[in-house]
Amino acid sequence: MTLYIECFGIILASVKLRNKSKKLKRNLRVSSTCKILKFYLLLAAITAVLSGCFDFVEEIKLHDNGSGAVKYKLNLSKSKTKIGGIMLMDSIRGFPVPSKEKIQKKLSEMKSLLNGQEGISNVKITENWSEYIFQLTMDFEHVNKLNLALKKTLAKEEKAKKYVYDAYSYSESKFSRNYIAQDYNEFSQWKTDVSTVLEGANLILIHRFDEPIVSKENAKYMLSKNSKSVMFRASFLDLKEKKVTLQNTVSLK
Amino acid sequence: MKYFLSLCLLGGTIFSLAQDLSNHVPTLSKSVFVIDAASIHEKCQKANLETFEFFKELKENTDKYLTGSGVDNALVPMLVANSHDFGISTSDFSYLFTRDRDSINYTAFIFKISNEEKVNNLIKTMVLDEEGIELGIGEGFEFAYNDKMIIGWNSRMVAFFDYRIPYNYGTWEAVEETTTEDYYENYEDRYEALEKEEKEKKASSILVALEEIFNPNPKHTISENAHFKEVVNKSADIIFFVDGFGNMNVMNDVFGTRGTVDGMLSIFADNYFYCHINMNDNDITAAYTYHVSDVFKDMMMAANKGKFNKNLFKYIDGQNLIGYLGMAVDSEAYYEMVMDMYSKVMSSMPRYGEVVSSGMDIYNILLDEDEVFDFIKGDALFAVTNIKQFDVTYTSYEYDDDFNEHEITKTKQELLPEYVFLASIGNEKLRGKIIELLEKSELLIQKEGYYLVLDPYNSYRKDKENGMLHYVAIENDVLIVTNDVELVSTYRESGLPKNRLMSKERRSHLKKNNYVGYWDSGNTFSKMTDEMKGMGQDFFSIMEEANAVIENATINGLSSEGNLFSADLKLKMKGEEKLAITHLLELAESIYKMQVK
Repeated sequence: MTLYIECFGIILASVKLRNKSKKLKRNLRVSSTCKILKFYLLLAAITAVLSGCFDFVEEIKLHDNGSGAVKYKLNLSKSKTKIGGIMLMDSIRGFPVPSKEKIQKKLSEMKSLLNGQEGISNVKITENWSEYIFQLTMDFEHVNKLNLALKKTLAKEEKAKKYVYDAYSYSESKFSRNYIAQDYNEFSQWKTDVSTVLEGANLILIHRFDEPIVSKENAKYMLSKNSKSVMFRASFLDLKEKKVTLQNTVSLK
Repeated sequence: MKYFLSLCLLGGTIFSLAQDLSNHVPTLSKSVFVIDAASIHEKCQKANLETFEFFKELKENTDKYLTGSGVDNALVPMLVANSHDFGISTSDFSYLFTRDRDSINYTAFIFKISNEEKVNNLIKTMVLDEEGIELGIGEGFEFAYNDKMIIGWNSRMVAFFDYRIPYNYGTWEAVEETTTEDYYENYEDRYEALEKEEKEKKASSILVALEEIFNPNPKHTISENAHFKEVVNKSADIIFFVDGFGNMNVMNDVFGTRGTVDGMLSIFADNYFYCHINMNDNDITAAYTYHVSDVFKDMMMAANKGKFNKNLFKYIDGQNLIGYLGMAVDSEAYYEMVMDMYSKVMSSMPRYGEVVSSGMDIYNILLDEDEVFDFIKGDALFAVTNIKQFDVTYTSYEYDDDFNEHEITKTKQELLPEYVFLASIGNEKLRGKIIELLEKSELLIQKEGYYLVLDPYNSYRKDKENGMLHYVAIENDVLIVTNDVELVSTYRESGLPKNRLMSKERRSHLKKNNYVGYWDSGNTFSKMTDEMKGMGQDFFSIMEEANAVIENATINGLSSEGNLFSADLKLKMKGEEKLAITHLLELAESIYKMQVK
């Protein structure tokens, strides 16, 4: 959930209301036409509002010395027709809808911030605006530096920073994926039930290692055939309702 | 005696006109609402407004208006709807208007008093027990104000204001004053002196606004505006009037004071707009009228001569029609009008005006108008013909035994609007070239007699037909763009079968008008039930209520008479046993109850 907030939150939730620029008076016909067109756009969007259907994937490749590469992927393809409709609106049910340009600017800022962090390199962001798939990849010298980089980057985002903690730790051939259950009180102020938003949304974690895994603490993590990876798959709703936890420690050979 | 009576009658009429509050509305008001309080009050009484919860709440919290909602948001509806209780005269019109002065911008609501005691009670409730209220006395009126609102009153009328002092008011004075600035021993003294000065400035701005209304120069009121007089001759529950010339100042933001305005004056001169809004028994109507300058009248007339090609109607499925929007113009005349308007506006730009204007002239010379206007005929219709389940493909990922990721395409069903965009086109040679170009660019893929629109993002994928599919076809000189494959494959040549076409009423609407709009509430909400439920019980309840009260909405236009161009919007309510206003109030009540929850 934290990572969902980190990435998706940065993209959508933290964008502030757009300043309304002064608009020149338009003539009667143009003005009415625009209003009606907006109505049809609303109609298209309203058939689709805010129910979830997205996947968030965290994939980490960790080497013996604690260095590695990480990939965060937000896949909104399942909701692409809905998002396409929503992106045409200024706001929907009280939520401001950021423009594509604003999202791109935000992503580019995030890339610059991460690039400037010590121990982080090769930061890449890929955007697929047709399928609404966004991916962030980077290399890190050590998981501790990855923790720090995420913390520093998200410290700039008022809404996201409170959800940040040291998600990863690695020492003596033991890798831990930490998790602090989130407080959902803030979301209770939303006009839409947060459960509706999270319905059909899945979280997938894949952690790969150079050496075979000897043991893992959380049974929800599946072991790969070659014993060098674990995979966690759960719905965000289960995470919200605390039916599952991301907390896990794997011991390597 | 007969002559004497006639004279008295004439004198009485003149006297009553002179007494109308329009002679307290500044002529430079940006927009003016004329409210027939008697009519609205009567309709609200018939609808038993008093019994609605939201109205009870509004009435009980009168004292919160000074610090709470704005004048036009809540105060005016509440006062007008219940005018008797607050001592508002219903035999006179009330006025709501906005005015931007250098020193103060405000929205004011003024009304005549029928019962002084009731009005005094209302003012007392609003003013007493409020912190930060300043009281004052002007020439022939009293007033009270805080940071947001002003109330001015005398024995004859009351004025409520929302106001804002422009941030740059007095900036230049401050610059000039810096040379003679007083010396202060410490920062607190200086801050205190500045605060006092600001307060005085605010008080004088407020007084100026009040003076303008309570003691106006008779020649500078809207009652002297010939256009306004014409507009209020026709009765309506609410009349909205905007004097276009007054709004020339919006151009100042763009062009500054250095712009040459001759060209623009020819557009804006004699340019005004009004709207008559009526709450009838079974519908609510808004009749818009736009008066254009002589320069644009002929151009508008020429542009307005377009008609919808009947071939377009063959492709609109009327069985589950949600709505449509369309316009039919003479494309060449319309283009000339728009270019002329832009040319006049752009040439007024300081420094770059001439360059832009010359650029537009060169563009016009290069444009092969015969080709273009033979291609674009000028009529176009966009219709949403259903809301139904569509197959939608999307990208997902599968993982093998070692959790390696593999991209796959999945299909799911989604409730989406079915639409069709139709436009008459000609010039077979030109359109052939355009289609060929689009095919070469892989934006269109040829199918059997029609084309599939390809998303450029998908051109590198194995499965190019990904996502929501859209189709293009050209048949009978009609361009068809739709997401209904059946329309372009099965019915492209013949058009839809007769039993699926729009009703006679709808076709007649399209034949008689050249600017059209239509929305069917029942078809919309009944199709969306499950989605609405997904958005929460509250939202569903409101939509259910909306579905129960609104039958349809239509836009008809444009008709013209001289320099006047008119269109009207009609919101038809369901069930004749209830008044349209009762339906509206019930809808407001549902929304209120949802918010209270």
